[in-house]
Amino acid sequence: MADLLTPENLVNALSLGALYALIAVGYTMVYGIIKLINFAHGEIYMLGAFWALLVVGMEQATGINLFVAIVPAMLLCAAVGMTVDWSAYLSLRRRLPLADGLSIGGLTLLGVGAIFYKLTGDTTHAWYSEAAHGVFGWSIVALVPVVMLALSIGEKGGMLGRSLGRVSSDRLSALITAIGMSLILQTLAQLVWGADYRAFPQESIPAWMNEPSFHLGDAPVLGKELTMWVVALAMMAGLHLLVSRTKIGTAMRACSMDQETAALMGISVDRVIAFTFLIGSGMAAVAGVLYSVKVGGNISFRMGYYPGLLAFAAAVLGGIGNIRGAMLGGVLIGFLQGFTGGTFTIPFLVMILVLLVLPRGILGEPQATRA
Amino acid sequence: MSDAPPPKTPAAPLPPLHPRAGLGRYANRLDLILGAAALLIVALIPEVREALGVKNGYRGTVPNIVLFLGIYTVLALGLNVVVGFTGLLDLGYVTFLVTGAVFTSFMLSLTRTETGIDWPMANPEFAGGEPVMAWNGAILLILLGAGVLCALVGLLRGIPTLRVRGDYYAIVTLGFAEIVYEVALWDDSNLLNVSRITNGAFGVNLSDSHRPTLFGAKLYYDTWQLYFLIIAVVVGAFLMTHHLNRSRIGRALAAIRLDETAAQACGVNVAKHKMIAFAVSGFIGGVGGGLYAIWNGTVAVKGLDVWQSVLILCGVVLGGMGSIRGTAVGIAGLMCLGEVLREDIGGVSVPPEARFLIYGLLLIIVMRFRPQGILPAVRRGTPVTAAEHEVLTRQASTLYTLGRPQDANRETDR
Amino acid sequence: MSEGRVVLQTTALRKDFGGVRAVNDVDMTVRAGRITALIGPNGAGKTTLFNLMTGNYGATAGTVVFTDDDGASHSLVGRRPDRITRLGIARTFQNIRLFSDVATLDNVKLGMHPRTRAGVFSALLHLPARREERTVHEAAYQYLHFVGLAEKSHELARNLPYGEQRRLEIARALALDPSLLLLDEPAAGMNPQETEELMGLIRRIRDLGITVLLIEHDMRLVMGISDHVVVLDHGEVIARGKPEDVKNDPEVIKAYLGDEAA
Repeated sequence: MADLLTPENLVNALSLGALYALIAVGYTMVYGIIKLINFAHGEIYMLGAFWALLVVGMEQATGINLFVAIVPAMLLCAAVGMTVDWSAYLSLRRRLPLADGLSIGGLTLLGVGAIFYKLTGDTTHAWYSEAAHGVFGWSIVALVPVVMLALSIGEKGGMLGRSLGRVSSDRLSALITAIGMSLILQTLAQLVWGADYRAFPQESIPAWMNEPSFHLGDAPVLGKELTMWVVALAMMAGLHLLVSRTKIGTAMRACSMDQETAALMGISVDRVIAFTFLIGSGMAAVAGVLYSVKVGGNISFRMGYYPGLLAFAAAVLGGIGNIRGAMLGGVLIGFLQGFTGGTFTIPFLVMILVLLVLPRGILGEPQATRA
Repeated sequence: MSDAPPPKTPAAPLPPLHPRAGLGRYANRLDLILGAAALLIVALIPEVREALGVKNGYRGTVPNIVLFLGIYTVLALGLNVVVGFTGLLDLGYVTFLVTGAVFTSFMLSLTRTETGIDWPMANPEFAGGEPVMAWNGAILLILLGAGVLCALVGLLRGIPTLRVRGDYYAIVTLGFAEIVYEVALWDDSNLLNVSRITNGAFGVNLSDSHRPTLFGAKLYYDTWQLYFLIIAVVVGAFLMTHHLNRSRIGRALAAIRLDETAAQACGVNVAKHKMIAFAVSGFIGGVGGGLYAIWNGTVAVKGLDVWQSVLILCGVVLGGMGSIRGTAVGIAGLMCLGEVLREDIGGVSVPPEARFLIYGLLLIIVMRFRPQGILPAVRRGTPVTAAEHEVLTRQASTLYTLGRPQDANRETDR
Repeated sequence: MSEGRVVLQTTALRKDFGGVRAVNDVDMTVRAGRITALIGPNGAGKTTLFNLMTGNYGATAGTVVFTDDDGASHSLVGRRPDRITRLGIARTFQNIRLFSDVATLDNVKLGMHPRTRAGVFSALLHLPARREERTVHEAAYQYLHFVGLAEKSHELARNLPYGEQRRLEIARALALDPSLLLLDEPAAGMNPQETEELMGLIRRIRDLGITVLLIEHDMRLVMGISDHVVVLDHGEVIARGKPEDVKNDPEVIKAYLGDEAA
């Protein structure tokens, strides 16, 4: 085991920890509020890398700096995250005419890219394939104002129509829908961008990111790694402040405790849920971009699967629903994987053991059985 | 309501009940007969096969898709026990397929050599010898062993989820499947040299001498003997799950699915019954995996990834969770859809990955608009006929069973 | 009235939720063959007390001892709900918890689960289970008949009107063949006619030799059928005794109506 405790592995473990923590908070926030394992979250992470790649140039570099590209990637992922909620989960929570409309519209728009792709053949390098990328991308972009509009008008304007009552849709339906959503996003990405592994063009990455900024023992810490740690820490701190200090944060906590009471207090639960998806997805997008810079050349439709699974394990490890727990769990899983040569088995076995010993996770509160 | 407080005195046993009228109680048997007839027609009549565009097997005349379909029906029926009856989402059902298939291929490749028992995988010094498990009928024992092994794996996998909310089961099964997938490819640089059994990425190939024998014939993917074996297993899985569902255990599983607290208030040991479901589901999956090994001839873990789990799950969801006939119809529909999507339609071929786009859409749309599936499980009880009602209520006025129906022992079922 | 043997005894029973003490050192005795009513204002801790007795909550401190039909005593604290059910305590829930997507008759059959024995293999292979199933079928039907729902044996439970759902839940609890039956607000949401019928039903249950402990807000029902009343307020027992004594207890009136009324 001694040969595993190297400074190189430490650097690697810290980066993985930052990665999993950034993804895990998205899982844990959504689970905390709507008690759903959002399997599509790993796909959001993958899309984050792809959006940034589209901005900095997939085939030819556009000359845009990667740090600039993170912003649209975050925004688009936040929009996709909300769209996933609105198109798949909302209609399971409540029977709303607009929710049905949105779900059909959302799914249709998500399908446009694939259909267009099928009409244009399967070469990914021809101009019409670029057009297919465009259509797919723009169909998502077009969703942003729609979702924003719906959110801002909300129930006040009666735009959602009269709620036809709560649906007692069981948890299994929601989980299966989440799996379906994950499948759709993953295969769409594969259809549109192909199965190749891609990397950000070197021109878009500032030179200092590939230079050592300091040394940890005898291992150099490259600028991109340092960036990842700093950004992850900053975002965690920001999230903590958001949840504990702001009005919307209070509303989020209220919703995670008791949605019905929160609704009685005048909180628009659907809007809070949408906001939760937005925040979580944005953070996943940042993780997607920064980690892809760190490893280089891993951007593909399947890149979200394992990080998604491990980040969920991290959320469980820390105590699902608990944001600080997700951060802690993320770092722990990152260390477990970083120091064991990147296997999947050991972090997951540890998660299973923790479930056996501490079913509520490390920071989770004891569960009260309701009778 | 009856009026006076009834005396708690035992009365004479009930006279036999009148048989129920209607087709209802035979409906499942009818399904079975119709399904078997359909399979036989497709298998036996070449003209029908031609009309349906079903290709013949290479060596004989059994169309490949029939066997393929049979194996996946077995797997789907097994998955239905956990997903449909118990209401827990299993995303790693492929684990049983892998375990059952690897176990079967391992047992079949055992060979008696001069130095003892050996097997040819990843062993350059392997000199050849006499296959150990090639005797007539040994395959039945091996399939049973695969089932039992997978039942144990199912129990092992289920234990961590017993104390937590049901949806953790989804993530634990998914993670466990990934662990199996990763460990199966381990070689001598890892903790355990699992590749010695699975032959890593290459997979185990069953040579002619190591083929299992049944009814005096070596089983290949297109031999009649394998066809009948698979049909027998399908029928067995069908009847097993059907009877399980109708038994007191099936009722307890339904209670767990619908409301765990109320189930406990009815004296149902939730953990124990979940474990029963895991074991039964694993057993059926293991046998299915064994059949897969024989049918495919090669067991390469690399090809058996999470998508297989998703495919089988899709079949169950589409047909109707908890509905046995629905599960069979759903998986058949999905496999046929998969075959159709393989073909060129109007000069355009669907890329293979697009199939999963369609499966994903199917999952969402079915959940949103028809969560009970194409052929939902029958939840309504069989109506009691007027004659039955008369007999029962005449007896009921004395309430003779408001004690114990038989000399029951409260503590037997811990 | 003669004192029956003690069926259930709680001693210094306590339950805290975070900083809130929902049940505070409750000593309570339930005697055999009687109908005992547990009353008190909303939030007094009645349902919490039930949940402590049935194992749905773990107690913070104190003991619950149940004596079964054979005279053996069992400590209930720390026991799983299903084990407690098997000892002979059946319950209903305040917010009805039926298996709503299942036929009425099958709901009752589920109540017979602990008394039937068919194991996995006989279930899978359909061996001796067949005969047992027939007995279960007949007995379940008779429990339905007992509560007056025989005509609805094949309806889905969720399609029954509210009052009938309550009675079905009672039938399911009776099917467990309990020696102690806990009813959590059985008359909630019932009209006077239905409550009247329910009172008859509860009396008939007692006449079967089953001890009944019930939580109820409907004073007409409580005063009409109970042999013994325990009043709970802020997690503590403030009065106990015969219904007519409790009705005039100044503490009880204060708890229900406030200080001025007393």
